[in-house]
Amino acid sequence: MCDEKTYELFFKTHSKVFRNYIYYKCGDIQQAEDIVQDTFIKLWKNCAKVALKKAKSYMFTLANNAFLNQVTHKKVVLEYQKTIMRQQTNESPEFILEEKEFLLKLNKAIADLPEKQRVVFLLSRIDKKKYREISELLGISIKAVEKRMSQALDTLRKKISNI
Amino acid sequence: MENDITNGEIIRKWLEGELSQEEIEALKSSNVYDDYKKIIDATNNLNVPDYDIEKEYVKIQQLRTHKNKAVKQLKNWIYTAAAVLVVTLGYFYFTDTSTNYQTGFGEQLAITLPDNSKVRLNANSSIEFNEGNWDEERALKLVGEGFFEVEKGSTFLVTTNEGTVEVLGTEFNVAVQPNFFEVQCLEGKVKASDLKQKQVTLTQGKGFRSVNGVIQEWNFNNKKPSWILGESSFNDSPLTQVLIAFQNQYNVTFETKGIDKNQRFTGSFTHDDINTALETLFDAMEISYTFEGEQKIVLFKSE
Repeated sequence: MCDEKTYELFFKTHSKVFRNYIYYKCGDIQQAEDIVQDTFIKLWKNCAKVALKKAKSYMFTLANNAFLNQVTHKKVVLEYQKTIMRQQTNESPEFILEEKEFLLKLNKAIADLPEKQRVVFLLSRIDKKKYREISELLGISIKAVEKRMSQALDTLRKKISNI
Repeated sequence: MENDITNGEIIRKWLEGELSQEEIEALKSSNVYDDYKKIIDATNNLNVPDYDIEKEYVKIQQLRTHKNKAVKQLKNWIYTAAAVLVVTLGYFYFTDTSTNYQTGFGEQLAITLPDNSKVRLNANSSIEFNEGNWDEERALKLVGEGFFEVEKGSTFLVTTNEGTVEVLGTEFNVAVQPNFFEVQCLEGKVKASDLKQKQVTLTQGKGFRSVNGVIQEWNFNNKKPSWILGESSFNDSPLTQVLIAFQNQYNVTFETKGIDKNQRFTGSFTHDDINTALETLFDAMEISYTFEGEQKIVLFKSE
């Protein structure tokens, strides 16, 4: 890990998922990026002790701890400001409006999800991670990922159809 | 089967495209399928704020060199104002702990580190270390060439762009140039590893060299590196490295015409007199040289 090139490659492959992961937990992009920076600097300082194979789970533990440490200091306000990316459409204005409303509802429902469900749901849907990858990242079984995902979908459906 | 859709495994297979035709039909007949499909489709329109990996990596590199002295951006301006005050006061204490020594062309420098370990820097080289936490972490960054006499104690780490050397208490010489990493152990034991993580343990009188990833080891007898006594010596070294060492001593540049820079050189040149140095170096290798102006030397094959 002390090799500059290995470290750089590792950073470039994983830093975005780390950052998104923390973001899904706390909803604060600045905090997420700060934690990513801190953990990668810690990784560099301890590079001699961390084998490349272990680095990913080591980083997740570090990031988690950093996150927990910060939460004890300040209560995180959840705010999701997701930009809505629209592809070109030739749909009717009503339909577009409906769509927009639906997205807003969905956004809010995602922000209200329990943290564990939200993290799994977004890693799968936004970062397009396979269940297997998510289970490796979080250190849980695939079964657990399946459970959280279906719970998330169930919660979202109920919230959205209720509003 | 209506509860199939709430079955996590079915959803996984659905999302990862592993369902069979029958399973898809069963799924579609479920009363929640339409809602789920709508949610999943809608997530394709969601995005997280942009993340510029290249830019972030540059930040990390900067933060790493400043160690953990970097001050985080604080959102709230009150914190910022308070921090500015603290930072300006603390600035002089903290930033000064990163100490830097550098030598110019033809210069040498002897440095005593906080624990009484000694470093001799050869020409055109530098070291950088953190004086503040030297007691906890004996680590420094070397560019160029240096000779180290390390006091016994905790691990002493020399990092370079081409490899690292790790010791407990000993004497050793490290020379670094692009794609060139050379360590000679003059007393005790050192552990050296190049970028490919090829690691060797060197005992007294053993040398290790990695040139473009090719490893070479050899034995020698001297007790001090010769450059400390005013002479650069080489043992089967590529000509490229010899020329760089020469440039560092005499502040000249070389232009090579049809000369194989990978050919090996064993011998030495003096630091006192450029003409003698040129003669001893190139006569043996059957290379001719002429000056072009004061600082440029053109090399070509002797007839």
